[in-house]
Amino acid sequence: MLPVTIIVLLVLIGISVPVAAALGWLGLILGHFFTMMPIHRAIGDIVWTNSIEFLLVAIPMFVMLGEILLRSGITTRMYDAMAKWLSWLPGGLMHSNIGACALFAATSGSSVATAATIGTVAEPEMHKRKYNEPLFLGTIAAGGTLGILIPPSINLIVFGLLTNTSVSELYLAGFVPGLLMAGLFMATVVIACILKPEWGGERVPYNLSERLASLVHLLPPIFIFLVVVGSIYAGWATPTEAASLGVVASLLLAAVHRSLSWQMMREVFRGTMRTTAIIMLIIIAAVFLNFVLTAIGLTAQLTDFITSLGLSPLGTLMLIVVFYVILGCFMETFSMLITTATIVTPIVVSMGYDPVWFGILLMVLLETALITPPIGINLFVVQSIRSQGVLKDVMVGALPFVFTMFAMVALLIAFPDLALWLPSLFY
Amino acid sequence: KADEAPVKMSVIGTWNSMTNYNDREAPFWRGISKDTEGKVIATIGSYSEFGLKGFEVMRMLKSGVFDYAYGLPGYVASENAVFEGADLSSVAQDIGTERKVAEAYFPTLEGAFEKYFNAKLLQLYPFPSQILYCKDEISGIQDLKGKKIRVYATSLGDFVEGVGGTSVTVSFGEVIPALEKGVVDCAITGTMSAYTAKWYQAAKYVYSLRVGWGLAFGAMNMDKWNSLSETQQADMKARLDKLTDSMWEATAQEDDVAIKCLTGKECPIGADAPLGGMTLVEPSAADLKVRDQVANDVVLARWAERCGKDCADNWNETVGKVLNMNAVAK
Amino acid sequence: MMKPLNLFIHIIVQVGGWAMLASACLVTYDVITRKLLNISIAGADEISGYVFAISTACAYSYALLTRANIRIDFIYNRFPIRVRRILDVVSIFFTTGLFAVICYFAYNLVSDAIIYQSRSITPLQTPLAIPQTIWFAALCFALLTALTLLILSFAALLKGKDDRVNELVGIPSLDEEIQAELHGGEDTAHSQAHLVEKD
Ligand code: NA
Ligand code: NA
Repeated sequence: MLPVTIIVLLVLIGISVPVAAALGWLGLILGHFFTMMPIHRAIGDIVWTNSIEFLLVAIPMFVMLGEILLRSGITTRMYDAMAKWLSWLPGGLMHSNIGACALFAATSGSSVATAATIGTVAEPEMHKRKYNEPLFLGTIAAGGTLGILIPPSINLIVFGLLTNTSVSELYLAGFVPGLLMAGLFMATVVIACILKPEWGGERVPYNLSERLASLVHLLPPIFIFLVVVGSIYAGWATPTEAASLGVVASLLLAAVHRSLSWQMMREVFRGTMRTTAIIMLIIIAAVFLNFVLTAIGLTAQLTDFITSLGLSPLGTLMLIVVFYVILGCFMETFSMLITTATIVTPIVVSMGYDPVWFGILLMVLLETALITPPIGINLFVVQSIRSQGVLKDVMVGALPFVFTMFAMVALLIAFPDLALWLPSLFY
Repeated sequence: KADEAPVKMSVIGTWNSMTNYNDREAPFWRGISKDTEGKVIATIGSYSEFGLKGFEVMRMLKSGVFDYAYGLPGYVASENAVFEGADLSSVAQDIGTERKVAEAYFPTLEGAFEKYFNAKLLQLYPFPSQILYCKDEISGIQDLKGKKIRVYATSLGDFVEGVGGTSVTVSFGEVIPALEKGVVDCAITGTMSAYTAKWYQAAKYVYSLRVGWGLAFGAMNMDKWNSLSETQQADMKARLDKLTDSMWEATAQEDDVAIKCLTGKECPIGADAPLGGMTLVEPSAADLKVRDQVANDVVLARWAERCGKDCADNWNETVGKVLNMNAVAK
Repeated sequence: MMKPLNLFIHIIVQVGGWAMLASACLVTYDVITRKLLNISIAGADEISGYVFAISTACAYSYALLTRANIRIDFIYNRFPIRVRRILDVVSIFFTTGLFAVICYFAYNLVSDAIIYQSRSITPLQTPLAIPQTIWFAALCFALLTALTLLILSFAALLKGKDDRVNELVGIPSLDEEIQAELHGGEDTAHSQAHLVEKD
């Protein structure tokens, strides 16, 4: 059963069938051959109940929020301000990339949106200031991944939905690791630029008054963050409702900036609906596939297999980490989260690990998957923003940050409190 | 009709976080092959494992995806309000009464299951009782007035509005933060669910007014049922009846255990089971009187309206006689 | 055939977008009144859910039209052009098939909701036939879009018009993709033109 599953999936994905269709057909095929149940009849109900799932409404909301911020020019101004504050470090604007990604991540629930937005704004600077292109692009690809770790986060919401874990706790747990990881990324840049000073690009000095004047452009993202995350902890809204508040808040900001227009809204809606459609189709197909995998008993088989290895909890955890790193090279992260979280989380929790902590560890592993070749969505996103050059540049540039992420995984395993300390203050 | 060939059953059970599934539904169907010497072979999975929410199981039973399904009638009530009749909010305070209610209403549900889902109803059994958990101190039913209370079903919403509260729908996973941060003041769920989900982290008061029972059913696809011989049907029914009895007994105990764990000085589940440390507030006789009034004026009246006259009359003839209550649309 | 389809899809995407924005406003209103006035319009989340389902279903057509569905081109890019075009048609074939299966079984759901006059089990008591029928119509429209793309691209493949196949159902090049990111999925001038090109 397992070999058939893997072969069918690899063939479908290999011949470039869209990920959603591949997952859906894999489900239909497995259901047909491995069970007597007329399992395909369940698909209508599964599609409907997941299509109206309120938790998932956060997805289009976060996408729309990001679109509005980008198209109203708020993000560009935020990036400039970051540049004025961080570009004195060895590595210059590369730190602004990471800083801007971290700040944008605090308003956006998606890594792809984070990388695309900051990348669009940062790319022109790369040529102007003669940076080492691969490393510069790597900071955007890697920094962008923070989008799912620093709250708000679509992936944390979906993880919470699938494993019945509190999204508010997950959000709190993501803070410290998110900031720490941004710090580690910056340290990686500093080390690289000390070893190879010519990678660092030209530095532009800014005086204090310019810097202070730029601070005002950091206010809009902070405002959105306060609305989206603050409203949850102030007791105004649930995490899903908070995403809707964020949309309204970003619209207000755009209005204040006098950048609202019919044309802008048309583009916002097009972008939002397109991204939402792609994500939802994959989610629905993956939920159906999960249903089939349970029905044919594959899930139980896999769980039994891992238990039968008789490894220690730490050994099992290491096995799972390796499994995700390998899977992450080949699979799209969202599909990966949805197809594996319901299987793996119960195993990990039964070994005595905290589900909230594991959610955060899983996010870091997903972030790794976003930038490991051959299939790493953030690599593609960053490449798609460039006007010239080959994908290999981005892959090479992102590589150092893959190792930084491995270090983060090790830190999280060694010091679970990095994730659990903040939620423990509240709950 | 089938005789010697083994009967194969695919079963969907309830939640694998609950003992009803882990200790009774799953072991029963996993062991049935051994118990019947191979005459019945079954596979079972829980909602959680299948990634289902529970609303869709009846349609899946009807279309034959599953041969046997467990679920809550309240969850399938979208087809018709008649399914709510055995578990209307705040009419039965103790489990003995609730069992009589379930038995009185069984024939009605049996007919409805056949009509709407082409299914044979074989079991009705309870989950631990549905009560209230509040963040701030409450001393009785009058304190619910003006409070925002988390509900998950129509009838519970009617109860909350009947006592002057505001009903808010929050998904199970979001209840703790919602309580913690004041999105809701109180929340309703089963006693054991509240304990295992650690609601005591956010709520300090348990108000043990039974506002519902989480009554569940077990039903078989009618075509499957008809494909069994009479002996097979009788055998199956006898086995399931025994299972049903054990479920009523176990839940009665579990309800007590859960409340002890939430509010008592020791938790009978195990030595290292955490204590909830909540304050138990039991409904006074006066509270129960007010509750009866609310049940009568709001819960039953609104339900009678949703359900229609025939449906309400039938309820008055069956459950109404047990409870000495009347459902009349206002 | 593509021209009216194209126009209609652009309209429903905008309608879907406004509907999502409206439901964001509804939820915001609910949050504020709940906090300040202690009133909850029970069901804001439920309504958002229906709006979400319908808007998303409308957006599927748009995703198909703009070739947005994620495809893994790792092996694909190593094949000669002709094979890639065949794979493009195979891909839209599988996609169309999936939509067909979904629509077929969604029909049972909707027809039951109509026959039994099902209502949601929430305090809102929504007659499910209403949201489900609209949702089902949008799904069928996505199926229609997929089918149209399948037929047109298959015809183009047979005629040996590889570029046309690529325009209809290929994997957008990185250049095209960046335009899409920046213009909300619309690589404006280009896609408008190519989709109405020949019919
Ligand atoms: Na984020
Ligand atoms: Na990867």
